[in-house]
Amino acid sequence: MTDSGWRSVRGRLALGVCLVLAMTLVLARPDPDRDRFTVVRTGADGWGRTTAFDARIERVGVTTVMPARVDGDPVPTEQRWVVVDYTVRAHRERLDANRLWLITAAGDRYAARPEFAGLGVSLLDAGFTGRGTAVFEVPPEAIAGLTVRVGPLHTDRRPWDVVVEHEPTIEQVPAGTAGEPVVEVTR
Amino acid sequence: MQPTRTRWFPWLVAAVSIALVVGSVSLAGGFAPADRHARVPVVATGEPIETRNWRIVVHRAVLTDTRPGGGELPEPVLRLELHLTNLSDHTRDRPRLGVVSLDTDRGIIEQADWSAPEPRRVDLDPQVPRRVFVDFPMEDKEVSVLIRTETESWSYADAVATEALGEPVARVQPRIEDERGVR
Repeated sequence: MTDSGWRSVRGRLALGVCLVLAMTLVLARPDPDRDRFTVVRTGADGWGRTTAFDARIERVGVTTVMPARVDGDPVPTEQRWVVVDYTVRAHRERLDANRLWLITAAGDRYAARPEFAGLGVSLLDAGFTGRGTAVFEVPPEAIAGLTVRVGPLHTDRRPWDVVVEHEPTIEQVPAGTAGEPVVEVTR
Repeated sequence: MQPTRTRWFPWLVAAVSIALVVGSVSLAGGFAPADRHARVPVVATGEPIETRNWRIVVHRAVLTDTRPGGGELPEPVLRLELHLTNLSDHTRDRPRLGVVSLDTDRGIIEQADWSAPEPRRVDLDPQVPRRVFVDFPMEDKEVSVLIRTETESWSYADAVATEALGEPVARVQPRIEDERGVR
């Protein structure tokens, strides 16, 4: 083969390698929606146990009106309030325990409503157990198949890359009678 | 030696092509600095506008010196009342800066205070429509609301997708009501 022939072959080879490299980069791109943490399911006793914390979902209720808070009126919604009572136990480090999510069957992720943040457990010292309530606002059609996720919980030093997930039985709660949420921390 | 036609024919094709391109550009009005917002479609007040993450309805624009929950503001504001629906797959606190902005004589104004009717907070859950107020610190009466979409890009270095502000998708020219001094 002549020099120009070799140059042509080398050029096409280089182009081919570049195309293969580009395709590999595109195909190897991780899914941005993929969860980057380990999921621990709750066991038969209702607890999900991780190295940093344990969590238990006590009760999940659905209603359309949240009871009045101090100096406030009842808060209605055209959607649904999902009221989650939960307990978190911190092991050896202090945790920001107020990180709960609802995951719908379609994969949408709902954060707890900040209007009711005062009902939740916030910072939890090592060795303590906190009990609180998180309130979510979800469209009625998204209620079926909900999963409650606790975490990842942040410590003073790092976020733990593990979450607890629980598939609850959901109770219907008459409007305005979601009960008096209890926030308590015990040793 | 190549035939004469073979030598000049490629030059002729190139020259004619260039002439056609230049002629087309010239007929189309020539090159000029593009007005980024000139061709943005105008949408009526009350009509939904969709961006990558939001369905936005500009419901009302009002000059006011009263807070949404009552009480006097230190300075009057131009308040947009929006109906917002989060079309993404997770709760977001609000649209990123610049998705809702005002186009004024002084340029684009993006900084604003977001609030919701008491006792609600702005945080927007997926597929849950919400009424929110956006207060711009100004008293202009001739403005248009510019809605921009978001874009997503992928960083191989950090292995994360990042969002940025994209192109304008709609312009709304609301009638501005004046409620200053109304208590």
